[in-house]
Amino acid sequence: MRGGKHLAALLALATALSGCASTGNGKLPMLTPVRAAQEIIPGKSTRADIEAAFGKAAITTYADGHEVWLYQLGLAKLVDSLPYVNLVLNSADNKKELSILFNRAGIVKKYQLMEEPL
Amino acid sequence: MHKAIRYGSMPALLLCFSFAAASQADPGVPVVEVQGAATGRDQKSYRDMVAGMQVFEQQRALAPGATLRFKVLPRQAGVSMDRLTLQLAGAHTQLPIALAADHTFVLPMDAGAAGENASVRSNRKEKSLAWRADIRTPGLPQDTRRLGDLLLECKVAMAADLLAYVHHPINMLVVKLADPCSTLPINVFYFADRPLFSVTLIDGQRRSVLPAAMLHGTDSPLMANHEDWPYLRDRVYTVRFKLLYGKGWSDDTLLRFGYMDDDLATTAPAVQP
Repeated sequence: MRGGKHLAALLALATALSGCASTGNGKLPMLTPVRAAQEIIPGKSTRADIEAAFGKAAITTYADGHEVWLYQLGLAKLVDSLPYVNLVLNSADNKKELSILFNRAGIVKKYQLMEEPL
Repeated sequence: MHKAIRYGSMPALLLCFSFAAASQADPGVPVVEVQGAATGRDQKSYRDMVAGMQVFEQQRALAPGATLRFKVLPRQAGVSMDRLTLQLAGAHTQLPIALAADHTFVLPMDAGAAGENASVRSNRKEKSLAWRADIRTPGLPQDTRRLGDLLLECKVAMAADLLAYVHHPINMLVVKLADPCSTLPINVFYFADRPLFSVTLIDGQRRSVLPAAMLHGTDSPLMANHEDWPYLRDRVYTVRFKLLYGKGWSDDTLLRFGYMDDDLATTAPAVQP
């Protein structure tokens, strides 16, 4: 019974997360490789540039000073951490994602735009 | 039966309880190395590891020409890999295990040690190390791994009970499955040699980018202490064999790594075709 309540809560949370649709300012769905190359310039673009272009990302900072910003169209990566829910939902199945690597100085080092899931 | 349950529990934990966490690594808290009694040392059952070696022999066609080594990596901040030692230790067995500079090792077959339920014992405290199989087809390009090699590593790790995981009753649901690596939609965690930014799958002329969501583990640190990868999460990538093989990727598929510390000149945008 208790487990059932937990499962229901997790599913509710997953539903809420999936309802988020995407991170950022909504530009990701229409982003093309050509447009991305215009907006993201390795060695030049700053964090502020990227936030201005795409909005707030899910940010992970690593011990060596690198930072990865992830924009996802679909589920937030948090859903991958939810027991039971992650049996059927996985953010790696999202339709589109943009990940950007910043160096210690906050300058874009490289980026990856994925337009089709595996 | 008990052994089967333990093996079977691994995929469920990986599948359902992949709680990630960077927060576990606290550089301000040194990990005490245990130099004396065996109690509390990081160790693995020799019998289990022999079971893994047997799986390797049975299925080595997945990785033609490869040999089986095992590998240990630091699991927490403060764990020194200097002067790390391993030994095959039982009631009547005390056999040093040679550890290579990359912290890989080959385990000898020793019927006596298996008979007395010996351990592969480190001189580090429990939960200090992450244990993996290390199987590499010779002659691959630099900065690549081969899918068949990784699948065989998974199978060996399951049989040898190498991976740390969260124990949970749901694991009982999968214990009867003989090949969780291939038959369950589980995420299996691997370590690259350096911090990762991208992984590209290459199989002949076919290419595809691994979603960034499959790098660096998951985001929520709910039960990180039960897992062995969060400390090295910047090197972690996950593989879902059932998904990849189901979509036609072959054993010969190469995973080509792009690292965070690659020179700028080599970091062209990784846009999927």
